[in-house]
Amino acid sequence: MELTHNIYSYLLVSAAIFSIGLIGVLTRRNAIVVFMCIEMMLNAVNLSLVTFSRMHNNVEGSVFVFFVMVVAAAEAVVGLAIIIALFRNKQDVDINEVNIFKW
Amino acid sequence: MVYAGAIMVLFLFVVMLLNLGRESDELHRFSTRRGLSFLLGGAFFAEMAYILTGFNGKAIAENGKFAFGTVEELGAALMKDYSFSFEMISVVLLAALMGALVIAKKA
Amino acid sequence: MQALLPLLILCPLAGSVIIGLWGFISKSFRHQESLIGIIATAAILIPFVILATVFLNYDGTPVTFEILPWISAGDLKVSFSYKLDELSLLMGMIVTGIGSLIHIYSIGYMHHDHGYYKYFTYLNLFIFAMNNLVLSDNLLVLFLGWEGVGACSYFLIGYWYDDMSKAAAAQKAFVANRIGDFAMLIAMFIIYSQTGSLAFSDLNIASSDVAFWVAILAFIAATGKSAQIPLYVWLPDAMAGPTPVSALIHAATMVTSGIYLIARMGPVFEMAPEVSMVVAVVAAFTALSAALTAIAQNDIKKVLAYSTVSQLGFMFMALGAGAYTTAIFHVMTHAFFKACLFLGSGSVIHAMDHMHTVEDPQDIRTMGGLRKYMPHTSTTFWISTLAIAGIPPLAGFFSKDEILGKSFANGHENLLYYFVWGIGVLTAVLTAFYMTRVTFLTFNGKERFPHGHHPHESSPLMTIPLWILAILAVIGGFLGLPEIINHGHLNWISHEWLSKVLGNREVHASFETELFLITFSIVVALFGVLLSYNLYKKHDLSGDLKVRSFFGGFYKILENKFYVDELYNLIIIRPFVWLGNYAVIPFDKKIIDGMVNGSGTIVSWSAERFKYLQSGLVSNYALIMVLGIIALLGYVIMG
Repeated sequence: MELTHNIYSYLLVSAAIFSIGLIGVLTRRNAIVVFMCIEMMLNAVNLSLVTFSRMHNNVEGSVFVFFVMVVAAAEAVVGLAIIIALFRNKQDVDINEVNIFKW
Repeated sequence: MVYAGAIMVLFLFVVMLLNLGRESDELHRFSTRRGLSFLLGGAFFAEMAYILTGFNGKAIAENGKFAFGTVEELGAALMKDYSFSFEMISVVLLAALMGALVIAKKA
Repeated sequence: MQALLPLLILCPLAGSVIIGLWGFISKSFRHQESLIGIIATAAILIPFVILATVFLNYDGTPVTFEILPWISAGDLKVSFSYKLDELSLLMGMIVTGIGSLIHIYSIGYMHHDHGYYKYFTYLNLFIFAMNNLVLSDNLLVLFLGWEGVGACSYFLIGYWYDDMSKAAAAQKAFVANRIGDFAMLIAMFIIYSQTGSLAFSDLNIASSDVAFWVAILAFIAATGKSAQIPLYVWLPDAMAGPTPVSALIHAATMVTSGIYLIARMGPVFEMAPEVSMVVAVVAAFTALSAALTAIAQNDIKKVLAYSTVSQLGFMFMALGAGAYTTAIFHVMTHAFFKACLFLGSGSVIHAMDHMHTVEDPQDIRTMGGLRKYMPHTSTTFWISTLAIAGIPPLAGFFSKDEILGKSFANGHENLLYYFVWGIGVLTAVLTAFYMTRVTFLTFNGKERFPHGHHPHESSPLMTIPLWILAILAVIGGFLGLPEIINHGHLNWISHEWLSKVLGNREVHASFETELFLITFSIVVALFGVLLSYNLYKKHDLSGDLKVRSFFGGFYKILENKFYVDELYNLIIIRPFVWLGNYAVIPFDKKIIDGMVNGSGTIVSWSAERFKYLQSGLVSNYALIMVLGIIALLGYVIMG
């Protein structure tokens, strides 16, 4: 099968998803939602990696995607565990309420 | 499949466990931080678009023929060239699992 | 012998270091006065013996030796190297010979003083510096010695430092010297830039403009060290130091370094005749004003101090007349009789102090008739007085007459020198007068001190050096018999010895003129002595009233030493203090302190502002991170 798509549109989509995730991270206050946005950013990067892998006809890009996904999963696990521990102490998952380390 | 099965379910579990109320309507409040965040997000997108399209800002219409990457190829690469990393990544998962257990344990 | 030569420099240094360190460390050593005295005297006597041996075996070629290389920077190569030629041998023997005598004297004089070991440490250090000065073969080592003797002079004048006025006197000496040192440094810079070398053998300055400046600067330096106008004001105050110090430093050795310097730089001065004239005139005025001041002084040491200034003026008159060998001749004879006078005064002061009945043991108005009790001191003092007055055949006559003769002979070319000669003669009369006055009032006449105790002669440790010096004052003059005798061939010091090194200006006077001058000198000297003697014999202390009426209102000015100190205070010191208070101190406080404090203030002020970045809000942190990333990306895009 021959694909005659414009490869750059994939990259633009990846950039767009990343930016949306970025806005989410900066804007949202609920820690769990922030985590979801971070996952979104990671996935955008995955998309971009796969695109490049196809562009340069290189399998290594895809292998890297594999690893990124695993790491994302691991990170999500640990992060959520932290949120749970945090919730136990403060009964609130608002990230802007965790501000003891300040001047 | 990883995402649908594992990570999303995990999120669901956490949300259910925490039993949170409704989040205060951050998105409908106007504050400097929100405005700046949108601005920065937009700027980032613009910059990335510029870079990714070959530093010339124009959307490129290019027709290219590509070889199709099969799953078979990916699997072969994983098992042959990157087998060590493959094994290590499973150790990373194990470590994450244990870490999560420790952190989230009831004291 | 060659191997022993470094001892000339190292012995005094070693003596100073040994006594200083040992005394500093061990309290018991400080009380071993004889041991300290022996070490100190040996440290000076050994160099004297070495120099005397070299002198006796001298064959005309200078003996050189080097101790250490010193500076080797680019083209400038200087080392601690020394040259014993006729001039430095003579000066060296004067320094170490009279130095040894004074060391022996000091053992007696400083008996039971608290800082006995410190005294000898400084004294040895002084001889070390002085040896460097007179034996060196280049200007830089000479300057090392020059500064060194200034420093030791400071140490020794302020020896009894818990007395504030003595400490102030030491500081005055140092500051006055320093001004001269500055001039000397500039002269050295000029010499080096013109000739590329600081050695005396390379001292030939071609252009007379440059020679003018070098000579003038060297003379200013000499006025500081050798107490001429305008920098002489420290010498009378320097009498605050122990009397042997006054004898050694301020009569025989340090104050002659200026004359030595100019003698060495003779060729430069011959190229700049205007400077020679300046030297002669300044010297003449110095000599005269100091002699006038001495008439009105009542402290025995102050009289001798002004006498020293006056006699130094004579030596500079000789230099100004181009008679370099004569100046050195007078240095030698002056060293003999002035050291004897100072040591004699020390003996008197010692005796008066021991009586514990007079308020000021140095005031001649409470002395009188001491001849009966202190025969040795009295006789040697009288001998030296007659020597300084210029009575033949004592030493002072020969050297002083030669100076006056050479000045007069210069007058043939340059009428100014007749004027200089006239002032010299007047000063000679005054010298004879005031020296006889002070001697008579101290040793002869009525006893004006309160009776009870009576004074007694000093120990042989003190009287033997007095006699040695007095004998030298008697016979020393025969080294330089006048020109008219045998056409000057009997003038060993000028014609045979020093002329090999110092080139005197060629001036001649006829036989008749010289004879007339000699007779005139003898007449005026006798006149001064006899006038004074008769006056004070008849009236004793009230003779001063006659002198007072002779000078009228001028006497008050003389008593107050021409108000020079007050004048300097007004013109120089007060403006400097004002400048310091209103310009320098505010600058230091506001600007320099401001800069230092300001940097601290800026740091704390900015920290106060920047701490708000640590808000604790995760969103803010994320925002800033993203901002940074975008900026970085922008930079990548730009180029």
